[in-house]
Amino acid sequence: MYSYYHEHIRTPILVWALRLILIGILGFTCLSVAQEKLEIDLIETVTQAKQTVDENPTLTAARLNLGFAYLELGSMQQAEAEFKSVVGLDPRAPSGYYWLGGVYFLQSRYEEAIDVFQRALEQLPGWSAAYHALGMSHFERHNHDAAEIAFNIALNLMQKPQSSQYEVLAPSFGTGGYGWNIKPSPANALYFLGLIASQRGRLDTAKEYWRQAIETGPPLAEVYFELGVAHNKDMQWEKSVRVLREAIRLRPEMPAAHYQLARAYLKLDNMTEGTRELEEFQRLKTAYARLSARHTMIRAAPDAAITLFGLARKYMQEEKYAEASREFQKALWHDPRLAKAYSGLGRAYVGLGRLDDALEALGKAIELEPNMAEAYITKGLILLTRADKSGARSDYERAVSACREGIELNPKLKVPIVIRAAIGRAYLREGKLARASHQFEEILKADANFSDAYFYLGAIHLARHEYEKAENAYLRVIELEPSSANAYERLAHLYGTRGILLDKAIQYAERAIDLKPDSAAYYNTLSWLHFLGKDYEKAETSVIKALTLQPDNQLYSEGLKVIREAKQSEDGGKKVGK
Amino acid sequence: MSFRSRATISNQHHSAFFVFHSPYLKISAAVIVILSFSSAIADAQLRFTDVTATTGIRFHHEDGRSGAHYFLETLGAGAAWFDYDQDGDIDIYFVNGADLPGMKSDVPPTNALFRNDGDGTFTDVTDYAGVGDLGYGFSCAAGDYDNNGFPDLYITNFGPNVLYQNNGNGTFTDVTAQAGVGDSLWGASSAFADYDNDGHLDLFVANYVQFEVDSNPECGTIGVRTHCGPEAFHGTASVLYRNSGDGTFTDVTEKSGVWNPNGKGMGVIWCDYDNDADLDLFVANDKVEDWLYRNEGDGTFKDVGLTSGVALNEMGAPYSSMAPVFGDIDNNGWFDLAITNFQDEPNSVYYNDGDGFFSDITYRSGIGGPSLTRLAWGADFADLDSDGWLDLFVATGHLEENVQLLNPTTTYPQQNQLFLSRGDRTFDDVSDSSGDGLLLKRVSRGAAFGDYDNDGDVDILITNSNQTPDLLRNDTANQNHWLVFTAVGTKSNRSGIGTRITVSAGGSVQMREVKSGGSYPSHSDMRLHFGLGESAAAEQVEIRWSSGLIEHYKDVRSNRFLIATEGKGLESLEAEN
Repeated sequence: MYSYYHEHIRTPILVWALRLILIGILGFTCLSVAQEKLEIDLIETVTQAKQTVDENPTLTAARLNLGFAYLELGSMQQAEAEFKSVVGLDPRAPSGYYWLGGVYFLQSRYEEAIDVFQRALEQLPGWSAAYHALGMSHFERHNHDAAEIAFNIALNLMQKPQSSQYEVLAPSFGTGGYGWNIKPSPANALYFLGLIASQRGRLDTAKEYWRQAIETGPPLAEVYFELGVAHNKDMQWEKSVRVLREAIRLRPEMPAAHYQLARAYLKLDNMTEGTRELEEFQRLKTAYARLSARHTMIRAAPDAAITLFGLARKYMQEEKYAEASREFQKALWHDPRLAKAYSGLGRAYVGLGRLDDALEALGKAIELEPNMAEAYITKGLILLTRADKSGARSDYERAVSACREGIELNPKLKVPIVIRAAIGRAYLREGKLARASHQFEEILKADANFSDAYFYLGAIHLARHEYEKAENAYLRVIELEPSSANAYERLAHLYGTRGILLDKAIQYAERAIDLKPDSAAYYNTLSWLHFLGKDYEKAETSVIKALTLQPDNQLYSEGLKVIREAKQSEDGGKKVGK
Repeated sequence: MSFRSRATISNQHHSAFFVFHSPYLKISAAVIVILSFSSAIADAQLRFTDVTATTGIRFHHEDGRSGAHYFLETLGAGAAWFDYDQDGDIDIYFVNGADLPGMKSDVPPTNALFRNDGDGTFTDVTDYAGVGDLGYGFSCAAGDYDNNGFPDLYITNFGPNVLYQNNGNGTFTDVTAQAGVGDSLWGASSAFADYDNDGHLDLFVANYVQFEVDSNPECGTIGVRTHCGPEAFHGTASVLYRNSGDGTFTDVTEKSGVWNPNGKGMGVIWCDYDNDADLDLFVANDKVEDWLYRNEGDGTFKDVGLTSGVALNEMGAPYSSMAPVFGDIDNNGWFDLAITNFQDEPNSVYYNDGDGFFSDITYRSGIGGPSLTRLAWGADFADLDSDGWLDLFVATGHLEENVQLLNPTTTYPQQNQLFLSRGDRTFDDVSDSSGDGLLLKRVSRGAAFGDYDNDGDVDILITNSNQTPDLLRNDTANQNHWLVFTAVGTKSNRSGIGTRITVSAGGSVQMREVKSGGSYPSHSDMRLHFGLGESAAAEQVEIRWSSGLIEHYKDVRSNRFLIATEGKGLESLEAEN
């Protein structure tokens, strides 16, 4: 008798499932351009900037850069200190005052902001950006007269050509996170002038400013929005619909625009559109409110690291991985021993496709907190992806090992089914049938129709000689997945092993071959079944087919030899009989 | 719908309705004397005088703070103007806080009742009346829930609320347990109303947030310790109690459709905003969208706040709403809505379009802009200069003692704001030119409105957090005419709450509704004051009772206090001569 080798790893399903996890859960391929811009290693940036300052302590540009880096991390006090150093080193440095004003502005310290923006203007009297920032500070304090003057000056200055010395010295990385550092433009100044007029109750004047802002360009969603609100206040519903739709076109995720648009539609008795816009508003508002609440808490909470961590998690829920990675980094800046922030950062990096960085972050998480099951699981998931690409068994084993570590640390952890399946298979290979069985049963609790779990449970039952259970498991696979060649083949093999239902076994083996005609193993099984039925002709034909597909397979060659010997022996017997 | 009848009664033809009403005799002479002098002074400018020191009011609000920044110590407490002894002048009830952990007062703070002595002074009768609740109180609302002719009192606390039944003899009995209204959540405000028009006052209690003294989170910004905001706490459901008519109430919150566990209720007001003859309910929530519950007329409500346009600001975001107030600001027959909000948020003003929608006229009204620099609390519309147009008073005061560390341009005590109507849906901020009473800078919270000296104009009582209250007497000296109505229900609830009175005079048609509660977290005089401007008489007065009865009176002479008893006509408190 000869034995058979069967490869039980069902690669296509594994690939499919991993892809689902990476795309669906971690948003692997969903990066927008904007998010990519935010991919910054904040801590590394700070470290480098600090190093430059250490080497050149009197270099104002270096201190400005360090200030920017602190600003990115949300470390206002440190940013403030650096910008103060800049103006201390060079009291005539307008940029130092400008950015110090920015730090004050971000902390709602508007009086101090006003003071230093004015100092910046003393050094550089024609600086439109400083006037713009000054106007914004006055506006926040409801000093409408002063704000109006500042914006008007900014507007006039912006309409004249300015030399490069007036360019805002911006950090070398993105400035998208700065709520105050709006790029000064005539359209922005007009936008604020419109707001001032609106808050004074002069809606017609406000509308005029906003119309000018639109004419001036570039198109700003905020301007269209405000114009839409103004039209709503004037009960000019059709006009409102027009401009609000433009606002939404420019920025679809603007809850307020959907809200105002809904109001306009409802007033126009267009209940369908009104309801639809209200629903969209509610959807966006919920997402926005969650983030907004976190931002508010950061300003108020003494424990910034935890709050930043919470904000990062919200971003993760929103699948905003770049933002999440920044917030995790900020949290780590405030508390470098916050292991769960490293774990989160790892997951964010996975979302960004930065798998090496993810593994490093997860490694730090595990180093800080060796019992962090989630970190192991994420690490395992990454390694599984790698194994899927490389096909290397060692990668696969490392992946499964990490997953197993996580699951053993926290058996109640909610683990993706694919990972449980991989762990189950690993246990199966090691002959740890009870543990393997537990994993597949857990899978079935989560998804009673997960056919793979039945398949491997079938294998486990088979190994335990629980033939009836094995048969039921394979039949369940076929019921759930009628094109499962593997299940047909296993059933055929099961019947062959038990020496029962040989015709049905052969039928199932042939069905497996129909479904997967390029499987040498299936031809081998069919050959074996014919061999058992003493139909050596068909057994020979089948094993030759297997050898055609895998000419170097020693097992099949040996099988062919056995068949031919049996055939000869039978022929001999027949001759003797004659 | 209950029956409606048209009873057009002219006072000239039915003089029998104008009779002496003995309990009020003592004020009549005073009113006539005051009027005869005041009419000689032609001064249109509003003038409020702080008369607290001369009134005998000895009350100090205690917030119980110990330095631990407990969230509840910032909200202050309210007061009520109500005529508990039915002697014709309105008395005052003050709600007080209580000691918080770390604070031990020599004498525990209590609520207090001050009887109006009718001569401009008040006497503390708390102990005799038996209304000195010791709970950490916030609001009070009055209403004759048992229809015995004497207004009862409901107090909301951080902890079990209290219902005091007025015994009619100057004393009260705590009937909370038997009435079944001892809700123990954090009640910020409450209001009586007969929402099902069955003649019995129901009760809505606006609950604020889930807060435990034992788990008081620490909050702060730029290194400054502050109180936490509402975002730090989970919301909680408010409660609607239906009066069973037998001295007990039934919790119908869920059944009626007003159950919402996410609320952070601060202020509540009942008003028939859609003119369908039943009372609707507005709840102002703190940093959560406000609710406008439209009364469906079948015992249920539907929240139409979002679709009607009053739930959120123009950015689609919730404000820190405090006090909602309804008033018909342009006399067009539809109640408009104002809501006070936090500092840096404008007080919202919503114009009732009359078709189920409201338009945001916050800034256009002239109220939004000036209100950005104040943290606003109690408020109400009232015709303070009796010119026939509703004005708006707003009590303000910050909630952080150290706010100047965060914003050097603002202060903990703030100047209250007074907005004078121009009669065209816009208002002028006249806070700086309306007498010394408006120049006070205090940590104000509640505001209650009422004519305590019965001189025909509306005075203002302001409660201040951790401070003494202010009584601002309206000394506006102009020749404008007025009418004041007391509604007494017979088939409708005895307090007449929900009764709508419409007065036509000089080409203008004004309307008011009798209400309980309303201004954060206070209760105003339930008598309805109408300014008639230069009109010496109202051409027509229409009274719509919650029972459905509608009565009309013609040619009602001005400058009188009138009692409208449902189905029985008008009585004048003025001696006919």
